Amino acid sequence: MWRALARIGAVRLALGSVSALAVVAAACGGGAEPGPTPTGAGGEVELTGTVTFFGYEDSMRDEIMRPFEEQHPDLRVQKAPYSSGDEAITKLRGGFQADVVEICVEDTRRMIDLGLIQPIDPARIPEWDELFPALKQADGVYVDGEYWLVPEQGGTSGIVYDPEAVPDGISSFRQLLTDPRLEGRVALEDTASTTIAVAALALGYEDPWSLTDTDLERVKSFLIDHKSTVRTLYKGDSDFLNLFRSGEIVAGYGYPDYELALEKEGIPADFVFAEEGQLTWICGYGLSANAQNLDAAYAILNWETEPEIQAFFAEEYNYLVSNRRTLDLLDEKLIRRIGLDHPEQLAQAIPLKIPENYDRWLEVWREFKAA
Amino acid sequence: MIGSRSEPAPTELGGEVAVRAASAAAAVGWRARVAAWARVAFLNGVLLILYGPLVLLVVFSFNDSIIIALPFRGATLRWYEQALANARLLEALRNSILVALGVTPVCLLLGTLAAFGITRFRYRLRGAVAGLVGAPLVVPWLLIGVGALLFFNRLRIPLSLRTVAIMHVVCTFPLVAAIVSARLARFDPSQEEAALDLGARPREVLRYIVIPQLAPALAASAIFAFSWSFNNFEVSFFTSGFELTFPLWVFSTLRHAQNLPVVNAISTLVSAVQVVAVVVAWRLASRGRTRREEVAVEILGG
Amino acid sequence: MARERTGRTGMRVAAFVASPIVVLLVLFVGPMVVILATSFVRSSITGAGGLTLENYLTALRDPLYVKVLGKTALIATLSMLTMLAIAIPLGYLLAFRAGRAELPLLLLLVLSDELNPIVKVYAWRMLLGRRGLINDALMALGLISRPIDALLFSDVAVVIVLSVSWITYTTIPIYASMKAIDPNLLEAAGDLGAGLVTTFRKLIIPLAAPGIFVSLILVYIPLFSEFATPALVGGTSGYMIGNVVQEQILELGNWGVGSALSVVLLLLSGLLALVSYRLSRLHRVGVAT
Repeated sequence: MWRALARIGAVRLALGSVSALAVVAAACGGGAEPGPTPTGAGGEVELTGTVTFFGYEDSMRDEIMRPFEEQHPDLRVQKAPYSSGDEAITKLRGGFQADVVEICVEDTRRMIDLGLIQPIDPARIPEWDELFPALKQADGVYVDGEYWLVPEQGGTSGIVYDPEAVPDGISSFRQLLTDPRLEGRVALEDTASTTIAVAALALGYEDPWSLTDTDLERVKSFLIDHKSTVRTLYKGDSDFLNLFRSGEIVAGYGYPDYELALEKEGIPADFVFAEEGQLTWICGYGLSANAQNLDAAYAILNWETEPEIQAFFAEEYNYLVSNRRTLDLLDEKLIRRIGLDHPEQLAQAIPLKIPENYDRWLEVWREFKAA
Repeated sequence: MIGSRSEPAPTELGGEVAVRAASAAAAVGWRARVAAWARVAFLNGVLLILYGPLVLLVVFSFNDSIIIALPFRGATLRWYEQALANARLLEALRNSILVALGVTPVCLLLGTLAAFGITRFRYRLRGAVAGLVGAPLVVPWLLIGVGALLFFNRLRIPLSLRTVAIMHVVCTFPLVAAIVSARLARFDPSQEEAALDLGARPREVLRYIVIPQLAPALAASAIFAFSWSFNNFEVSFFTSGFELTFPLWVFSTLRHAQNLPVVNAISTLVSAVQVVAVVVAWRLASRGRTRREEVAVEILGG
Repeated sequence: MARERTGRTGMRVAAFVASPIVVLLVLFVGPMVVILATSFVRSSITGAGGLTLENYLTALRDPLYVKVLGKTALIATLSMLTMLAIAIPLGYLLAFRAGRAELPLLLLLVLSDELNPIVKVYAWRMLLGRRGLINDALMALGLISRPIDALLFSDVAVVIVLSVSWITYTTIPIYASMKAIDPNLLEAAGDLGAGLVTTFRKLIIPLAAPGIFVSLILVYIPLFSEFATPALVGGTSGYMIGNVVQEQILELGNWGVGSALSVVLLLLSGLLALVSYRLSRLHRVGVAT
């Protein structure tokens, strides 16, 4: 049982898509096939057989998937949830058979190299042209001249801090890591890729994903020199909110929805983008290399791209959406909050990635922790 | 409590241990009294350390906040309502209970057999057998899980709750073997032999001598086995197909902070049910015990 | 045990161990062989190919691993000693002094391990945190003037939380083997004027040695592969060898190095088991005569 605890290490936050507590069923009776046009149309293609969906639990909740299943009574939808990309990759590598796989952009490269996924054909995604170009062209969605997933959700990241403890605010990752007033009061994410990228941005590297060995040495000594600034490395939303609420930390690397969640709890918190840039997570759905029911798999990809489905995700979690038509369903305030009032800005974001020399990154990470 | 052993003065749980132990000690003198108090303080201290965190969580399962942290923000039942209204969660719970109920008796049987085989005989391969039985306790579950996935995949065995349960047995029965061995290693086999010499059949020996002797170890093992299976994540993740188990549900939903209090509420509920189940089982068992002990004494008395 | 039971012994042993052994050979050794094969295969994030011992060399050569292993050993040993210091008297009280409360107390002990481990961490935060209950209480009592930061996110926190989460598994085998000690022996020792300390040293601990041995196997060894607790309450330095294995297998997809490290750990565990077995045997010899 103590080993179950273990798992927490891998429960990584926000690097995934979404969940919907709302009852989607009512609003999204739309066909699995193109067009938001609702109710019981039954889809244009008769789907049969079995389709397997391997993704985060929330992407396959009954509220999302039941209307789809009702429209395709002859199709059996098998759902297997995972709780982190690392686990998903490990399980697929072990030979797990799936059709639809939920993919976050930082994992795409690894999955391609391991032969776990196949490219998608945009011609089979009727909403494709409606998707924001910045998301479609993002590194990890578009790799080696092919598209590997339909981007569905995303989000930016920056700095969350307590305006009472830090009245003049925090504007950069550099300040977050070096301001002596924050000594022992900062939390960073317990993920080698994000935290090392944050440190690299703080040191002034524009592309945190192409660090050479020398660069990594610098990043490492920088992190180690400022280790005492960091109270702990957090593992997920709940962990961060707990640290913030209980006064263990007054600032940290975080996501815009933290500010909202804390405000709802009556705890003052501000979210700002760091001057150095916005690390952005993007997730979507792709096809397993050993997919057996491609028709049904595409039907699920299209289903999750429906504006109605995306809208519920956005309303529930303030995640940015990929379908331009979804914006018609959201109110102004929400659109501003998720940063889609100027969608072209998406092009400036830095999508998360697992760099080529990731084993070197993990060495740096180990040395930082063992220091 | 066990077999024909003489029992110390009857006492009750918790505070009463203190009172009675202390009053009995009064006659003996201050040293004994201090010793009795020290014992009670120690036991209560241990219980406090073990249950303090749990009590906090029970209290916070009613806290009207998605953050589990001080201070308390006001009472609510909504986490319980959300938990009980979640069909996927309930299905996962049901699956986990079924798997654990299936796994527990198999583990008790295999574990007890292995424990006898290791502690009751001397033979050349004893060390090897003990090492093999102990090995699953040492290998990280992550590795066992990945290994099992590769293994089932090569043999083209489809993943399901059945493969989950099979691997739970593999990782859990060695624990039962270890606990039962610790009991057997010091438990004098002469009683079994005497009974056999007196003409008792092996089944009678098992029922009237061995099982009563092993009862506490078996009870503890049963609870552990159930709990290990019920709470296992890694092995379950890699060996499951399309049915959720409870920990799979927990870990796959915890990404969203909203789900944490729901997880806490349902865990609290599950623990409460387990405690009640164990207490009831204990009551039932202790009702029947006296008679069985008498029978055991009769058989031994020849 | 002392009696000679040649001839039929083989059959009788087989009757007991055949089914557990077959289960393990097929369902444990089988998967382990499959994955161990990968520890001799050159593998990386991008796939596998070629036989190699490189994985073992990587595991053994890196000075960082040695450092992390040293720290792991220190934390595991401190936790184990803490637990033994509690479990031995606890096992004794349960076995001989609890009277009718014995089984209920035992069940309470066993059940304490039931609650979901993820949420349990949050309880520890409330207790050990900067504004946690323990710091608050110490401040209210005027014992400290400002909160002790090191209660949480430190090695101390790791030792505390590990000890509490494993105490049940340490106590049960010790209790089980003490339960088999004849209480008359204890009485006799008392009659002969032996104090509590002497009784423990000369009688109880040696007789409970098999239980202590099982505890070591059951708890001390798995402590070496812990990785969740250190990560959750250990702060930025909460990093033990179990985290390395985890990282290699899940994050780097390096099943080779991951299993090589596990094999090294397994061998070390075997060594530890042997040593503690020898120690527990020595005790027994000392008493028997």
